[in-house]
Formats: sequence, C-alpha cells, structure tokens
Amino acid sequence: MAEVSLNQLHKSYDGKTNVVDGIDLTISDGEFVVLVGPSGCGKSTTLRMVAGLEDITDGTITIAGRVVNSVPPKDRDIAMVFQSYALYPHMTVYKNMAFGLKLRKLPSDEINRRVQDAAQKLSITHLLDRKPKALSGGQRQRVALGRAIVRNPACFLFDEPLSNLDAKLRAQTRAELKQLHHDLKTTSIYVTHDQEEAMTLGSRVVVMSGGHIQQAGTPLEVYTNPSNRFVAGFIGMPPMNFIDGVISDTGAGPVFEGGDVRLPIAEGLAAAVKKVANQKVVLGLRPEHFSLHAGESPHHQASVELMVKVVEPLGAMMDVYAELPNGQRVLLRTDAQPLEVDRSTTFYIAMEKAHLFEPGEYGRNLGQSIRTPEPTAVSV
Amino acid sequence: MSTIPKTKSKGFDLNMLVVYVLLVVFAAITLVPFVYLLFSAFKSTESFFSFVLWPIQPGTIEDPSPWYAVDWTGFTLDNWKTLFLEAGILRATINSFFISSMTAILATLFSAMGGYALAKYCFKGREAATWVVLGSLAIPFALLIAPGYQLLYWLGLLDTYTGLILPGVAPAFGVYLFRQAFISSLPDALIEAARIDGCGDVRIFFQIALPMVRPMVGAFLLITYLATWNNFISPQIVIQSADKLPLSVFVAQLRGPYGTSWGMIMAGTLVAVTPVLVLFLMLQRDFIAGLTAGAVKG
Amino acid sequence: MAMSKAAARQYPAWVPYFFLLPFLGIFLIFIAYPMLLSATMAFQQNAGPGVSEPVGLKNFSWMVQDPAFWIAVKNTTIFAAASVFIQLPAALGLALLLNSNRIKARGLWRMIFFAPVLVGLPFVAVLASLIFEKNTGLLNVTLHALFGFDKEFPWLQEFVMPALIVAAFWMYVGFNMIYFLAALQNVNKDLLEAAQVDGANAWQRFRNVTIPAIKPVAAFVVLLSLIGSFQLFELPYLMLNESAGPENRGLTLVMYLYQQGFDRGDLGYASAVGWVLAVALFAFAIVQSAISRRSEADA
Repeated sequence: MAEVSLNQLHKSYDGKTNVVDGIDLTISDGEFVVLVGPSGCGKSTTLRMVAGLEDITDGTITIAGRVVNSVPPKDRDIAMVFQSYALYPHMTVYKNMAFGLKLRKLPSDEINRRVQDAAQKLSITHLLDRKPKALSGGQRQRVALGRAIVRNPACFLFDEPLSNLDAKLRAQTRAELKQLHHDLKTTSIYVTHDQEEAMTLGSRVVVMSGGHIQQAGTPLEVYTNPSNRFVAGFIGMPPMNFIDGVISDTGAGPVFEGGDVRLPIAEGLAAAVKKVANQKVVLGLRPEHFSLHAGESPHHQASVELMVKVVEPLGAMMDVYAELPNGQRVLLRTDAQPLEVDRSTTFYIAMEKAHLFEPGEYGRNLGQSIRTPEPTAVSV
Repeated sequence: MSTIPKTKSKGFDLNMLVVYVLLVVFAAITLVPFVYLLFSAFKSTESFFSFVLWPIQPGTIEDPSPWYAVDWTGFTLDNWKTLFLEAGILRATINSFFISSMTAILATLFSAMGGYALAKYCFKGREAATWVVLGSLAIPFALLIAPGYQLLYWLGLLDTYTGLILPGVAPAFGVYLFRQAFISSLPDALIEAARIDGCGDVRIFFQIALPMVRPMVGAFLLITYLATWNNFISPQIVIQSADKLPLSVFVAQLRGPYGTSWGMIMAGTLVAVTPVLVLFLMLQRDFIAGLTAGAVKG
Repeated sequence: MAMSKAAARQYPAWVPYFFLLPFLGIFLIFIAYPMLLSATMAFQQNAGPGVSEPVGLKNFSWMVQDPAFWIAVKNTTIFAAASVFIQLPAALGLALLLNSNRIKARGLWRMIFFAPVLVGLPFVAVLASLIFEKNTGLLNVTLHALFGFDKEFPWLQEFVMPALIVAAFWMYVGFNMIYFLAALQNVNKDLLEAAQVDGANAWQRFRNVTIPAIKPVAAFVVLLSLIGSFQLFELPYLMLNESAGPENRGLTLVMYLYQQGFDRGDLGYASAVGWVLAVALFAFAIVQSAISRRSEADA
C-alpha cells in the first residue's frame, strides 16, 4: 500500500518532442486512478515509466515515499497486468503465478499459500495445471490478474487489460475488478482508451491528450464539468454536439447564435459570457439534453427546429440524427417514440446544462468555474 | 479448405493418374540408389561385380534363374568385420558425433544469443552489427579456405578439433534466422513481465526467450548438425591425423589407390548415412520448417 | 511498444554486448580477419603456409593464362546453368505435382524426395562413383537392361559433366522442391478462387496468380543454387577419386583453388582464385536483388 506521485514527468524519445509533457499527479494510498485518452496521448508511456519499463527523461516518480527513477522494475514493488496478458506460454498457470515469488526466493509453502489464495479469489483454482494456450481470453485475463495479486505489491499497474475481451466479458470483468479493488484496496493505476471503462472503474479519472493532463477528477466531475472542449468531447457516449457561433446580447439576455439557430443562454452562464460577448464560442450540447416534450422537466425551455434524418431505436431510448437549419448534423438521445424521418421536428433543449467553450480543440470551458465553486481534485 | 468444386473427385480421373505415375517414377529413381547402397554393403566382392542388386542363383542359359531366386551365399558380413575391426570406423563415427554435436550446440547457442541481442535490445552499434550479419551472409565459404588455413596454421590449430569446430560456431546465417524468430514470436511484453517479476537478463534469455523460439532452436540444431556431419572440405584441410578424421573424410579414404573392396566402401557409407537419415526423417517437420523460414515469410 | 531508447535502469549497459560477444568474437577472428588476410594473400606466392613472397598482380595474370582455370570456369558455368535451367524447373514441377490437395500421403512423398539431400555431398559422391562405373555401375546396367543402352558408356571418363549434373539432380531436386512447395502452399487461396470466378483457366491462374506469388522464393532458390553450384567441390572430387578426372573434365573452380592451395601449397594463388569466385558471386547477388527489386516495383 502506498502513495504514488509523479512530479513534472517528461518523456521524449527523440530529444525534441515530448510524448509525456510535464505530468503532475498524486495517487493516494488505495486510490484507483484511470488514465484515459486517445492513442498516442502519453498514458501508456506514463504507466510504463511508473513500471520502470521506460526511461524517465525528466521529472521524478515517487512510490511509497521513495524516488524510484533509477530503481529497476523488479525493485519498485509494483505488479503489472499487460494488454496481451504476457503469460509465459510454456509454464502452467500455477508456475506463471509463482514465477515472480520464486525469483524473490519466498519459501515454497508461502508461495503455494499465496497462489492458492489468489486462485480462489479469482475462481481459477481448477485451471492451475493448465498452460495458457488451453485457456479462454477471459481465463487468461484472470491469470494475469492472479500473477499481479500474489505479489502483494504496493501498486497495481493495468495497461488496457480488458481490451482483448469481447464486450460482454469486458463488462463482467470490469465489475469484478472493481470488487477486487474494494477488497484489496491496493493503489492502482489503470490505462485505457475507453472512456466508459474509465468512468465505471476509476475513483478518479485523468483525461490525457498530447502528453498533458487535460482534467483530473471524479467520473461525475469530468462528465458534468469538463474543463475544456477536448474533455467534453472525449467523455460521454454518444459524444457531445458542438455548434460554432457567437454570443450576442439582444437586451433580453445573452443569446447564442450559430448553426442558423438562436438559443438563450441560461442564467448560470450569463455572467461568464459577458466577457466574450460578440466573440466566437462553441456551444456544447450532450445528446440526452434534447427532448421532444417541453413540459418534461422544468428545464427544457429553449426549442429548436431540426430535420430528422435517421432514427436508431435502442429499446427504451432512441438515437436521432438530425440536421440544424444550416445542415450541420447533431445527435440526440431521447425516450423512444414514433418519429418520422425527413420531417422538421421541434426539440426542447435543457440550456442550463449546456456548455460554452472557447474556440479550438482545447477551448476552455467558459462556465466551469461558475459550476464548480471548489474544483476538488483538478490539480493535485 | 477449398470451395473450388471438385468435378471428378470420385471415380476415374485421368489427370490424377498421370500425376501418380509421374510421382511413382520419380520416387523409384530417388529410392533405387538407396536400395543399391543397402544391398552392396552386404555383398561379397564377387557378387558385387556380378549383380547390381541382389545375387541370383546360377541357372543355365536355356533356363535362367528368375529374379526372386535369391542366392543367399552371395551376402556376407565380411565388409562390416573389416570396417569395424581393421579400418576402425567406430572411431571415425565417434569423431563425427563429437564434432557435429559440439558445432551444432555451440552454433545454436551463439546464434540465438546474437539474434536475441539484435532483436530485443537497443544499444549503440546495433544497426552496424545488423549490417555485419546481413553482409557476411554474402561471404562465400570458398573465399575463406586459403586464408582460413593460413590463420589456423598461425594459431597452431591445424589438426585439432578446436580448429575444426571453433570457426563454425557463430554463423551469421543463424544469427539472422534467430533475429527473425525473436522478432516474430517473442512479444516485448513477455520480457517486460519477466523483468517486473524479478528476472535477470540471462535468466530471461534461457527461461523465457529461448522456449518461445523452440521450433527454431530444434531446426537450427538439426541443420547445423547435418551440415557438419556432411562437411568434407574443412576436415580434409584441417585434420591430418587418421584417428581424428570424421566419417566424411574417412569413408572417402576407404577407396585407396590400390583396389579396395567396394562392398566395404558401401558399408562405410551406410554407417555414415544411416544415423542422420533416421534422425532427420523422424524430425523432418521441424527441419523443413527451419529451412524454409528464411525464404518464405508467413 | 518499441524498445525504449535508453532504458538504462532496466538492465546494465553491457548486457546486449554480452549476448552479441560470441558471435562478434568468432566473426572477427575467423571471418573478418581471414577476409582481410586473403586480400593481401592474393598478391603473394606461397610455398606452404610458412613461406610467402609478394608477387603483385601476377597471380591474376597467371590465372588468365592457365588453360586449367578456363576449363574450371567453363565446367562450373555449365554446372550452374544446368542447376538453374534443368534442376530448378524440375523441382518446381515436382512441387506442382505435390501441391494438389487431392494427393494422398503428401508427407510421405515429400519425405522420399527429400531423403537424398540428407545423405550429404561426400557420401553421395562416393555412392555416385560406383553407380556411374562403366561396366558394373547401377546406371549402365539398368539402362542396358531397360533400353539396350551401351553398357560401356564412359560416364566418369568422358562424360563427366553430364554425370555430375545427374548426380546433383538426384541429390538436390527434392531439396529445392521443398522451397517451391512451401511457396505454393502460401499462395493466397482466395486469389486463386477469385481468378476462377473471374473465368481464368488453370494455365491463366498459374500464370497470373501462382507465378507472381512464388517469384520471391524462386529468386531466393536461384541465388542459393548459384552459390552452391559455383562452390561445387566434393561431388566431382570424390566421384573422380580425388582428382579432376581425365583431361580435367571434372575440374571446378573450388577444386582448382584446392589443387593450387593444398596440392601445390600456394595459398596466395588460392586466395586470388577465391576472390575471383567471390566477386562473381557478389555480382550474382547484386543482379538478383536488382531484378527482384525491379519486379517488386512492377507489382
């Protein structure tokens, strides 16, 4: 059990561009932190630096109060679960799990006890004599977990451990991982490109892009209060709709004009947008903040006429692909109900949940400071 | 495996008949010399010159003996007696086993080590070393015969097993094959997992890396073993003492300038050929996989 | 997942060199050094390994003036040509026969055809020296019995090159077949079926799908065959009872090198012959890679 702390961490392969560009992050004892981001964002490199599999270009990594920059992987008291599981194919499951303990010269009855315990926890006791080749993907995944657990390390490192499983198994294993962490309470760093996995697993989610941390916070924080347009677009499925436009004040309050629609800015945002009046902004609307009924909630006040193009029923809900008057496509998710295609339909928008961003890929969220008076874990 | 409709899969098929006839003829041509070798090794000098394959009982001109009337008195074990008791083929056989085993084991070990370094480590000079390996694939053996002899003379290694074995234990060909094998069948994650498990580099090589390329290890052992066993020119040049000769040179020398027993030479050839033939036919799958690995990529 | 540039903490810096050391050591002493040595020896005349004297370019001028050298060049070229133009097409043909998935016991056939190469050159040579014997040899006796062929046909006296070519054919055709068969088995089945759906007949499929697919392997086998042919030594040397045969009819370049270096003891001259051979082989390799690169660019 230990705190892991990254301090101004940099990584460069060619000496010019930084793949990881100044990461500051402290993972407290027992925390489950998920690094999430698109491929090439530096999340895996960061994890591999913690593991000792990559050299640190600049900055420090501290595990349990000890700077480990020049400590070889085996002496860092960490265990890692790889995307490919990296099980030794010529060893049985038992030997795979016992290998690290044997190398650490543990007494054999202690090794046996630990392997049996872990196998029981993961219900793979019946597989101990098999070779990895004879196992299914899900079983291999458990063995890889088991190999990490038996070591009883200060910190678990997970490198996309579920991405080789099919969707159903992934969801199931996700839940088991969460349970396991609840039981063991070992500090964990988990890397994934799947935002859903990040949201469901992490006690804290760290969204990365371009070698930087874009936002770190609880899953709900990053969802409801994205720090910038990148985070807003990356977290949430289906993704947030973005409409380019300007803020103008008609006297009756600030109004967003863009995509050939006019939408009133909600009260909470009004103060923030004063500074950007008549400037270009980006309006962010999540699909579920559209509705077909005005009275459904007190919020769905603003309305907009959209041309419905495609309807995808999902059971209780449905996804609607529609066009703004200027032809831009937006995606909406509403309760399932009959809806005709190629017909202009009125939708109601919960404008008080809308976000306004500065233009650009990483445009700042103009309303964030208003909505989160005390940004808890943003810059740990 | 194929969805091409088999129009004539049942019944008479002229094409297939032609194919099989060709194959049988080819196979017969291939196998007859083996049969010849086998019979000759057990024939007395007299029946060797009178009959090509097996000796037939004498008949009359009007009533010649049929081919199946085998004359068992034409067979003899004398060739074998001379070979083992007088010529000393046992010693040559042991020499061959020793030289081939040592060469094969060391060449495989060193090739695997070199290939592993080139495939899985980053270090200063890796590019250069890779080019050296690729470049030396193009060096013909013939170029090294004369200077190699000169060098062994200077080193005092002529007429020693060291001089025969050492130059062949780090073939660039092997380093190249193992480099390819490690790149294609040893994932980096496995090495990293072992590192985190607390494995040192030498142990990773032997316990994790080598088992991952086991087919290549087998194939390369076999290829090197066979090549060394059948090598004539190196021992012919390097070895002078009769008691150090391997079978290749030993058998060739059975044919002295003054009339030797053909049967004995054939028996000697049989002794030389049989162990490898049996070993390799048993392990041919591995062997062939290794041979074609360099040429045919997945 | 590429290797990190300087993961110095993962392992000590000497580790990769440790793994490379045996190869590098042996290479430097027994390959690189002799190669350099032979570059100087080519300009020397030796009387055994102990005595040498610089002679400049004379080794090469002696070589071009020596009729035996040209016989060796001619014989070696004939042998190489026969390997490439007779033996390799036959190997491909054999591979095609075996490639059909309707052939029963393919493994057994393959094993039979592959067996001769396992016998090894020196032993094949000894065996062949008996088989090609004039009166009693297996070949003449069989041909006489089957076709009334001349029983006294002097293979090893006058028709040495044909005998060598036949013996090498017997030994290597199955070996080369293995490469072609492996290549044929790797031809994309979908492509063949697509061609069939497109209406291509068997010949057109072979010409337009199979041939392009096995081209790289064919180029490799040709090069291998040339390298082997140009270094031919054991087969004629032992078939002809440790000689070059009557009137040097079985003399090859490496045998010439061997005679000069070890029978005459002039290692310097032998080195010069070695360089001529090496340059020829380098030239083949360069031409081959140029051709295969060009056909890759075409593809």
